[in-house]
Amino acid sequence: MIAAVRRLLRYRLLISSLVGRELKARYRGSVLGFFWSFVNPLLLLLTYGLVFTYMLPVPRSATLEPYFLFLFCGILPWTWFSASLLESSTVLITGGNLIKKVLFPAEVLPVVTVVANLVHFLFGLPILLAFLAWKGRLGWSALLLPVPLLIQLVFTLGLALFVSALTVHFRDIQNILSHLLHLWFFATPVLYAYPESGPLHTLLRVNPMTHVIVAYQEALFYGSVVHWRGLALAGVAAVLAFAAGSFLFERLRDTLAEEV
Amino acid sequence: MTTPAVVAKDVTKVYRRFLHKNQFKTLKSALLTGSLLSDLSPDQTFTALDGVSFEVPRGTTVGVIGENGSGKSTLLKLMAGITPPTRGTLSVEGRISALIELGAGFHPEISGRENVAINGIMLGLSRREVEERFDEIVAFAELQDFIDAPVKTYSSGMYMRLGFAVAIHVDPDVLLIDEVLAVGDEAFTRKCLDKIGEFRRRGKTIVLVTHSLGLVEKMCDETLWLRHGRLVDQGDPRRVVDAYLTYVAGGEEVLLARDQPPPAAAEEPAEHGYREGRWGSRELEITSVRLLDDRGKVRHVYVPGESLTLSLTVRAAHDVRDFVFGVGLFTADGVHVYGTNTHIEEHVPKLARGEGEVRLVLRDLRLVEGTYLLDVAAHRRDGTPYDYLRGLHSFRVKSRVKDVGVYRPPHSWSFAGGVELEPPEPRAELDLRESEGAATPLPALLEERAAWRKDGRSVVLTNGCFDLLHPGHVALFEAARTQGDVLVVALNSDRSVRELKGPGRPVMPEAERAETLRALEAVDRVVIYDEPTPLAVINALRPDVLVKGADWALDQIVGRAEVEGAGGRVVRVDLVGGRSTSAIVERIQGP
Repeated sequence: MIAAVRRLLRYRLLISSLVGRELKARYRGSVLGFFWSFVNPLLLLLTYGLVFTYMLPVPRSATLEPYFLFLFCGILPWTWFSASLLESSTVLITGGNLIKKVLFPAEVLPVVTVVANLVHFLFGLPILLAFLAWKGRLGWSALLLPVPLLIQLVFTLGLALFVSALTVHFRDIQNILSHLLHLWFFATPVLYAYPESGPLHTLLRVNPMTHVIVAYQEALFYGSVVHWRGLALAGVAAVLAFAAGSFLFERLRDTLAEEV
Repeated sequence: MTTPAVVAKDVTKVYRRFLHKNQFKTLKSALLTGSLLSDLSPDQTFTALDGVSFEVPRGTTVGVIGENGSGKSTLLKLMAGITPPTRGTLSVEGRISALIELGAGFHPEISGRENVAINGIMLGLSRREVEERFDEIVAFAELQDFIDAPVKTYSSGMYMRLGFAVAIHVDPDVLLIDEVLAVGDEAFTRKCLDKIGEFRRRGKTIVLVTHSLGLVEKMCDETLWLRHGRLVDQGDPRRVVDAYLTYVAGGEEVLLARDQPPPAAAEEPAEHGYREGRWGSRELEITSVRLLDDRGKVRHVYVPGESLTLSLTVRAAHDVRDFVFGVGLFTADGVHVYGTNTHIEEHVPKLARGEGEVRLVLRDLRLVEGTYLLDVAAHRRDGTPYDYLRGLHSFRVKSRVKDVGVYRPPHSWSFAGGVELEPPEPRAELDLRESEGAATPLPALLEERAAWRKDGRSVVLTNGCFDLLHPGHVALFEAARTQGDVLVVALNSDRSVRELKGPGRPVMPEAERAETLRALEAVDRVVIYDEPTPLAVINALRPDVLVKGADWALDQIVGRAEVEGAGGRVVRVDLVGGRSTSAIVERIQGP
């Protein structure tokens, strides 16, 4: 795993220029261009906000008000997570030319996907912070933001490596993954508050993303971080996921150029 | 400087034959070991390279040739490190740039400028190096006006040019090129070749995979020939390319021979108005069509200047008195090259009864390289067909010279005044004739010798180099022939001639000398021997008479004791004075 990290550091120039390319290329030709990085999470927020406020009101206590803001704190990082995984499931196949025809470190591709989506997340962050400040919710606890962010980065990288390499061999993953992520979304307290007890609490507790999202919500929305232990466990899970992902990727590396 | 740039030891690459089949059987091994291949049975795998070993010394240019599917590109991918060998080791020293697919990493949506930067980094340059070389790259690709446009707006030529420009400016130690020079117009190809030439001069190592054999002969120091994943031959480009061409011609021979089954009567309309097929009443039927070379062997690949004999077997269902045999020659795209028939050439038909043979000898086939289709027909003088075979037989002409058109008139170039050209090195056309040649192998000759002895026929033997035949020799052979029933000439091989007469001899190679000798009426058999003296042949053959020129003293004659010991005779024949090959060679070379 340390070797994997070292390799990634060696390719940082390549990764950063590919991320730059990815960002430039994504909105090239659209009218709003870069603004889509801001508009996208806002529209998503609007959709979920409308649905769960007016159509299917989520039973909620006063602590979740203003609900839009609460939703925003969870949706923004979740979007980074799910978009990264969805894109990395196809990234080796669409980038097949590179792997087959050029001596190219394949693991760079899923990493670029994750980092590019991280940049989108970071673009959305000032809007969230502005809303928080507007509602008078922005406190010092927001400075703890890098902690869940780092854990999520490591966790997402691990899963992205895993998913991307495996999809080359089992294309079915492409189809299953979006449904799996949907389920995962609802099994993570993004739309609702993390229950303190009960069977749902037990279920959600084994989900590392629960602790990550809750940490965001606590740092930004509630203004106090209390679930340290859960977050620490998520951190351990993230490192394990990264180790597993890079192990699998290394194992399958030699077959990638042939199977793509 | 002495360590080789590329070392391949027993490199084997096995691919899965069927992708995405039975995958779940091996999920566990895929996850745990990644060794999908080792679990597969041989019929599920495909061996692209099989135990290939070679070295490429630093600074040499190596061409890799072979048919499609012979493993060339796989070899290049292994060298580039894109995919690892299944077995064996392959090491490459220094920075590699692989021109396998140009512009493989380009993103269509962003500008040429940004793509150059990213592609350069992908190929291993630092950001600074990219900046330094940027102008040079753009200038080389001739894209100054378009460099800020998105790459998706580029023509394919522009795309390739930019890809080539970036890859070549990486300044690699080892350059791997896979058949990419065919891109771009004439001028750009020229430029690429110049750039590669510059690399050669700077002592870089180049591995070139190509089907352009001319390029291999021109640019490469060494050539590897792959066939079905195995290294068949390696060495001097000219020699290897010749061997390869001869092999390919053989393959085409098989293909053309197989494609000529007894055709069914069918009239299928084809494009370009040239319809293949067969029609007619069959009152006079063409039962077989054979193409023969000058030795009477069936052959379908020829070189210009050879003779081709068209042999038709015909059968008349009843007595036919009005008939014409005709032949037409077409190029593959239907251009009529030549046509004639017995009527045009005023042969008057008398009678066709039962079976017969019709032969047409095309002496000195002066056609350029290509595939030629044959029409053969038997019909009435008014054109009513008995049997018309259109385009059902074909042959191929192969040539070293890639001239164009259809017909190659006998020609030569000459230059005078201030025009000076280096003449090409003289090279013979490929020899497609089966290698048995005019000489008889010694074992076959010994069998014949046994048969002759049984029939009571006496054998006369003489020997020599005969690399420049003169009337003195002819007189010797004719005199020798009168001494017995069969005359065998033992001929020094090229190697032994060199040994006896020094370099520069023989004037003609052994195969041609043997052929010339066999053409003489007096000579019945020619046998080639490799030692300076024919003693081994004499001992094996035990001739009844050994004939030598009178310039040899009796006790100088090698093998005399052996012949006389076995009851034979040694005869010295008086030559027409003053003629010897060495004297002629001296006269040609002048004082």
